[in-house]
Formats: sequence, structure tokens, C-alpha cells
Amino acid sequence: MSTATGLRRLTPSSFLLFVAVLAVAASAAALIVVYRTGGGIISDQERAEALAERDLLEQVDVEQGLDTLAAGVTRRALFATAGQHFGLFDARGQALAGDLTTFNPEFRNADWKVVRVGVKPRYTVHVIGSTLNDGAVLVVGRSLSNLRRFERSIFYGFASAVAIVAVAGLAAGLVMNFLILQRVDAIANTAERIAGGDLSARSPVADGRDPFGRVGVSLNAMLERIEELLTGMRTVTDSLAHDLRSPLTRVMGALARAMHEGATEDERMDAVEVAHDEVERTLNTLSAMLDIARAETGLSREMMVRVDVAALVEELADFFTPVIEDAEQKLVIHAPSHPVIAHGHEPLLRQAVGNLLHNASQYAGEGTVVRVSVEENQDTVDIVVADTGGGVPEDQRGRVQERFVRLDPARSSGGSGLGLAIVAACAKLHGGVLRLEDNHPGLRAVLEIRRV
Amino acid sequence: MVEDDAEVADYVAKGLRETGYTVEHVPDGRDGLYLASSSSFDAIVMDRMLPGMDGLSVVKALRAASVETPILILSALGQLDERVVGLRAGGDDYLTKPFGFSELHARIENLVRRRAGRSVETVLRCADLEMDLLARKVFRAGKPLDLLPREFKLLEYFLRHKDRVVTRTMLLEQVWDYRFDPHTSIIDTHISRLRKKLDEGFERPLLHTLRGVGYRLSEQP
Repeated sequence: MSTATGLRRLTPSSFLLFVAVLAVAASAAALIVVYRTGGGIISDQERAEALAERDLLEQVDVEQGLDTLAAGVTRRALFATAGQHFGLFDARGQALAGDLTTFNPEFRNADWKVVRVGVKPRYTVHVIGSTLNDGAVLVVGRSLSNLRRFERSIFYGFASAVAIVAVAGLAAGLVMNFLILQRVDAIANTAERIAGGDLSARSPVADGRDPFGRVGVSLNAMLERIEELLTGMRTVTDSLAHDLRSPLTRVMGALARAMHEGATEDERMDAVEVAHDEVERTLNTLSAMLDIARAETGLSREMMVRVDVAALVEELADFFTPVIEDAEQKLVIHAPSHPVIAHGHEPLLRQAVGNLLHNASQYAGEGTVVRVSVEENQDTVDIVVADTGGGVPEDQRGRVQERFVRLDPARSSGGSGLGLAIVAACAKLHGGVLRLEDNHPGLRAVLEIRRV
Repeated sequence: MVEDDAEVADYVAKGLRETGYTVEHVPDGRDGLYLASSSSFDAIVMDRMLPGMDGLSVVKALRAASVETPILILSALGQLDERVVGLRAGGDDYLTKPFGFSELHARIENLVRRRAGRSVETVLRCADLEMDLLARKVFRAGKPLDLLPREFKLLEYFLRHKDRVVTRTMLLEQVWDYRFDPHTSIIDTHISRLRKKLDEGFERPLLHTLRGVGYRLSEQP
């Protein structure tokens, strides 16, 4: 809990500081480990070398006597590399050979003891000593300078590493900080512009793959949708006002005729019937509007169940057969004989397919063939209603899917102008699209729905 | 009748009383639940949006308490979804506001009668018309009628609702499961075809049109 809230309270700059401290601490830990083990390894190796050398010299003494040993030590000291030291003293502490000339009682039987030798400069030397048969003392030493050099290089290495980590980390952090803040600022600016009423504002999107790009992309998608819905709503309100006014005006006219004093009973009945039909049509329009709205906002999704699309289409085609036949058209049904199962909103699908069939019967014309088919694809099912009539011009195919759009300029056919809008909304609810294509000749309407 | 809109309630109650029903009216959902579960009714007309307790909850509560009285749900929520929701909750029929009284009346008659006669029949009759449900054959005055499956289905519905008014929307919803017909003429087309096969060449027509209301299959004109 507390770490979570602590983390949430962390600002980008304090986080940066935290990371820098962490980097330095990690380097220090690494240094200590290297220092300890590295120093140990060097010291052990030098000791082993010194031991071997002493043993060798001791052997000379045993086999060839002290004089030969003294000559050997002198030669050895002469060819010694930096840091190697030798000494041979008699029992009284008098120097016999080697570069170590001052006797130190600690030389006797020293095993890798740290001893100071010389006056100026004073060395600190690790020594191995041994007392020979006749009381003489042999000393092999290794200067601590190697170890000191190692320590120095470790320290310089560490210091430069920390400096690099600190400088580069700080720089990278600052740049990152700047980039992040800049992009967050851009998104925040967009949000502020929208809050201010400019719905056309969009967040700049350079690259959609990183998280900020994705935030920008989804923000823009959201805005796109909001704008689309608002525009849709405005269009609907405008069209609704327009489309309700005309039938209501006709109702008013019919009722005025019914109320006219000189009207006969039959004339009154006719007028009332006209009014009744108009009101009914208007109610249907309203109903359709609500269905579209629910389908488009996805509210109808919870009503979706397993539907056999093939059976549904066949049944509806059968239902529309008399209508198509009365329009002097021929209906061909082509659906698989096995069930085609999809996750669907049954009433809405019926409505949509019915609308496509109705449109064909209304607009394809006499002597045409209306072909209804169900085509199965991998993830989708296509419900196709194709006719051989006049078709819809390509540049109008998008427009006729909108609400209240009728290609018939006089709007005399009596339709609500919502038929294809319902089909399009239905396709959208089912994760598909409504495609209007050229049937060469005629119109081919494809209602695509996703199976799952 | 459970309905909080006084005007609708008066209109419906007056109409039902004129056709011979006895109507009890409460404007509140909770009162409706109490009344419906404490006394016996032939049918319940239930509004969806009510004060106290909403109509769907009342229907669910009644069904949970094994009250099987037929319920007609009234609602201003007329979308495709709402009808399904209403029927799933346990309603027997669903009618969208605004509605004509004749539509409501036809549906109530349907609910009340459906409850009265629920025997399993194999032959349906009306005057000299006879439908054999097992052989799926229809005879008029002993002469076989050649009906398509969809015409058979339509005639069966009429025979099961003999002498009763059947509205266009009832046919759409109950025979074809089609919610509404913005084009209105489909049912008329089906009826005129059925009528041609059923009544043409016979002296006495059985399938009658009631102007502005719907249809009726009956011996009497």
C-alpha cells in the first residue's frame, strides 16, 4: 500500500535522482567485490612465487653451501624486476648479499609479513624469510607497489565509471524527461482544446507503436467517435425535425378535412384513415431511429445469441416471396442446407434482411431477378441480396447508408429513408460492414457479419 | 391493470368495460404486485415504468411466486430489444405505446382465450374448412386446398384464433417473428393470396377484413 502510494507520488525528476543513486551504489558494490577478491588473488600469486624462489635458494644453500648461495642471491638481485627484493644476512645480522641490506629481526621465519625496509625511500614489502642451518637469514620480498597499483587502477576505474554513469544517466534522464513531458504536454493540450470546445483538435501522433503513440492514437480514435456521434446526432435531429414535420402536416390536413362541416361520412372515414396511416408511419420511423441508436452504441450487444443465419435468411426470403412476385420479379434463394451459426441479434438481423429484400422489391423494377444467398467465409458470414435492376450510382453508395437519405428526390416512395441505415447499423453491431457493390447490372448488397 | 398514466388507464379501462370486462386499476407497481398475487384475474395489463416498483420486476416477482395469469406488458420503450426483455421476464405479450384500443383488445382476447382452451388438437375446423395438422392437409367442403407451407402456417394461426380479431402486427410478430413492418403491405399480400385459395369459388367467405383493425376468420361476416 505505502510503496504503491509512494510510487504514485514520485515525480519524473525525483525518480531520476533515485535511479542515479542506485547506479552509484551498484558500482560501489561491484568495486568492493573486485577490490577484495582481486587484491587477494594478486597477493596469493606473489606469495606463491616468493615461496618457490625461497625454496629454490634454500636448496642451493643445502647442496652447495652459503658462499654459492650468496653469489646466487647477488646475481638474482641484479637481474630482479621491479618490486622483487632479496636479502641474505649472517647470524649476527650482517648483510651478505642482495639489495636488502638492513637487517630486521622480523625477517626470521617471516611468512608473508609486511615489513618496512630501507631508509629513503622506505618501502613496504611483503617478505618470506627463513633461517638457514648456520643461523644465516634468507629473505625474499615483494614490494606492495603492485597491489597499490592495482588498488589505484580500481579506484580510477570506479571513479570514471561513476562519473560516466552520473553524467550519461543524468543526460539521458533529462532528455527522456523532456521527451515524455513534451508528449504528455501535447496530449494534455489536445484535451484542453477539446474541453474548450474545439472538437476537431487531435493529438499529434508520430509513431503508433510506443505507449505515448498509442495513447495519442486511442485518444484520437475516441475523439473521432465522439465527433462522429455528435455529427450523427445533429444530422438526426435536423432530419427528424424535417421528417416529422411533413407527416404531421399531412395529419393536420387530413384531420381538418375530417372536421369540415360539409364532409360526408365516407370522406371523414377516408381522412381519418389517412391520418392514422401517417401517424403509424411516423411511429415506425421513431422506432427505427431508436433501434439504430441502440445498435450503433452497442447497447443491443447483450441481446445477442446463437443464430442460424441460413435458416433465418431462408425464412425471410420465403416471407417476402409474395411481395417480390407481386413486383413481377423472380426470387432465387441460395442458402446452405446446413446451419450457419453466428453470434447475432435476431430481431435486428431479421429487420436488416427484410429491409434489403423490401428495397429490391421496390427499386429493382419489373422483370428483374432478386437473388438471396448466404456465403460462409473463415470468420464472417455474408448475407447477399443482389438484383438485376438499375443499381445505385457508385458515388451514391456511401450516402444511401446514412439516415434519411433517399435517392428519389421527391421522396414520394413513402419510405422512411432509414432502411439501409438500419442494415448498416446491424452490420456494425455484428462487427461487419454493409457493402453496396455493382452486380453488373443491378445492386449487390452484402451484409457482412462476424461469426463470433 | 397496473398503469400510472391516468389518461391511458381511463382510455383502456373504459374500452375494456364497454367490451364486457371487469377492470381493476392500480397506479403503483407494489400495489399491482399485491393485487395480482392476492386475487385471481383473467389477464393483467402491466405498464413497464411505474412508481414504487417497475413493471418488469413485478412480472418477475409474480412468475417467481407461480402466478401464471397472462400478462400483457405496455411500454413506451418500443425497440427490438425491449420486447425481448419483456417477454424474457415472463410477459406473454408486449405492446408499444402509443397503441390503438383495437390492437390492445385483440391481444387481450388472445391471451384470455389462449388460457381457456389448451387442449392438444389434431384437426382444426371453421365451418366447412378443415385442417389436418398431422397429415398437414387442408380441405374446404371436402375438396383439398393446395397451400404452400407459409400459407398453411398463416391459416393455422387463424384457425387457432377462430372468430377473433387478429391484427397485422400480431401476425407479423407471432407468425413470422418480425418486429414491425415499415412498409405495411406484406401481410396484406399474404392474406390476399391465402384468401384467393381459401374463399375463391365458395359461396361464403371465411376470411374477413376489418378496416383499420385487422382480420378475422369466422363463419359470420
